[in-house]
Amino acid sequence: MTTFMNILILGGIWGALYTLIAVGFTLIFGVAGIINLSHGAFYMLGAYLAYTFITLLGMNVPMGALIAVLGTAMIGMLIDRYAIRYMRETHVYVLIITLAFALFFQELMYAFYGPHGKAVESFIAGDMTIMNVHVSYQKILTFFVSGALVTLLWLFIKKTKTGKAIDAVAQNREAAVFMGIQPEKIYMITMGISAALAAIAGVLIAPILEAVPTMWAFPLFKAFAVVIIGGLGSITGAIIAGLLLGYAETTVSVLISANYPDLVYLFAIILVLLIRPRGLMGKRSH
Amino acid sequence: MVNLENMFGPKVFYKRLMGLSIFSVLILLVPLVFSDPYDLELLFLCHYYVILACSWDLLTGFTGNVNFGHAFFIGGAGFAGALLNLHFGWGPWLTLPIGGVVAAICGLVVGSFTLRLKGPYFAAVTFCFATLLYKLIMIQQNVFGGEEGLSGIDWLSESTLGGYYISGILMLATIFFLYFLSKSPFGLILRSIGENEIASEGSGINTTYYKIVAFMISAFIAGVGGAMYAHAQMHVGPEMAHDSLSALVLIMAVVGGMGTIIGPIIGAYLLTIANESLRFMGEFRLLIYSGAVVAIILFAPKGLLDIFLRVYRRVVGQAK
Repeated sequence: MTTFMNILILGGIWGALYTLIAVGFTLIFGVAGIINLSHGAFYMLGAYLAYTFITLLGMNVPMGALIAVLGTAMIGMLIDRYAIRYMRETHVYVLIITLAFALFFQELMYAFYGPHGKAVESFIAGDMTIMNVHVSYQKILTFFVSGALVTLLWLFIKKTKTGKAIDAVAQNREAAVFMGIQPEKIYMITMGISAALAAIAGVLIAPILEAVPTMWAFPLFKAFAVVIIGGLGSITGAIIAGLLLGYAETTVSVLISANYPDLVYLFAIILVLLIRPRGLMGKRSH
Repeated sequence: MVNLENMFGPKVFYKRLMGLSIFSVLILLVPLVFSDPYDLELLFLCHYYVILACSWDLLTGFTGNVNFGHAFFIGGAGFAGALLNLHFGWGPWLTLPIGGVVAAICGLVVGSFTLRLKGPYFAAVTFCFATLLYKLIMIQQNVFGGEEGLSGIDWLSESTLGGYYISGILMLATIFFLYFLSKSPFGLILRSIGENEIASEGSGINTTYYKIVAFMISAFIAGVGGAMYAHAQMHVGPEMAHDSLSALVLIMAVVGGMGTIIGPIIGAYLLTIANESLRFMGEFRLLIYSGAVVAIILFAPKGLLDIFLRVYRRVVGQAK
């Protein structure tokens, strides 16, 4: 029973985090048609900026987190404006420039903060026991913030004017232009939102895992896996696949061995691509 | 747009062949000038990376399918060669081609499953296969040695000079092979797939078949390179299957200029030497290195070769 509860709770927390990382990744693909390999780097920047502002400069948590998230969103928008805009149609170029940026940010963090992990103290200290399972408040916070943000994103896209414009560009760029929407502006906003979501995940994770210069790879792989399983460009798919992956990995990790969870997502990607390349909820085109 | 007259005209063909021949003579003569073992080691690394970048370029530069898991072939062949050498005592002369064949078979298996997929999906699967291999190496410690890797493999050659020449000859063979391949009907078909895959299919070309064959050739060459590196270092480690190696190879080819054969050579030489010569920068070395890579990709999206050619044409144009 404890094992089961363990899987249920931890799987849910990791699943929520994966979903939070993956929705941004899938959003920018769905709207602008680009695979942003800097997505993990935005997550890393979020964690490091949180460390800088909260731990080093001693700001209070909401203020520091806000600056970290907005700063990362700005960087994302600048990259979109100056590095991606003119070459958006070339898949290969976008993949490579975003990868180069990710490596550059890794080295930047390495130069500033060194190779060792930088710990941020928990936003809410302590832990609690739910049905014999110890969970820190930080993890519970991560779960609820992730859930709330994904819901907010959904409402933003469906209810607000800007959100509807984003949806319109994702559905049909030409038709959106005829409705008076400027796609380039929408791409930049979407990139900002996507980077901000990744940064929030990074800020939340900073107290749980330490901030290290190579931390960008892990969320990128997970986002890739979630998005491929769920279907590139589909937010619903990302939510379902994020939770699925979180539970699958936790189950394997708890029941079999801590060595194998990484194999789960790799096998899952290969399996999905071989059987149903467009993913669970993906559209047929793309 | 590709200018066919420029690419396939006999004049250009022989001019470039001439250039490659001069390059080969230079490669053979270099040890007369730089005989320091340190320099030769560095040049060996250059040869190794040229082999990898050129082989990567055959699939990606020509057909536009981004292979994000080249380390799958490099590491796979490296470990295959190392295991055969350790358990059966087979020498480099056997393990190099066998490593290549193992990689090519992997290429056939992976390619026939995945080359039907387009764009990002193909990139994702190649990446996954490479990471799977990396994880397996880490998990199966008793076979692959885990993080330590496998040591005690036979020398590629007793002397540094021997290693230099073996790698140099393999590199030249790769370059010449790829050059002739790119000028053959096969190369033309690959380029036509890269330009417009649907139109190629419409012309009755079985594009998947050609992509798989290109993938296998690419894998074979990378495999030979990987086995060569394993023997030269007398050691294979999991880093040979790590995605940072895939990324490095890809960046070299892109910095030089994808789909041009000469571009990846420039990229591999430049970045390998830059990586060494920036050592005086200490801890900022990789920051400057990666910053330069970003700048080059940003300002020369078609690679440095493109910039060189433009400058050259401008200078020559003014002289006339």
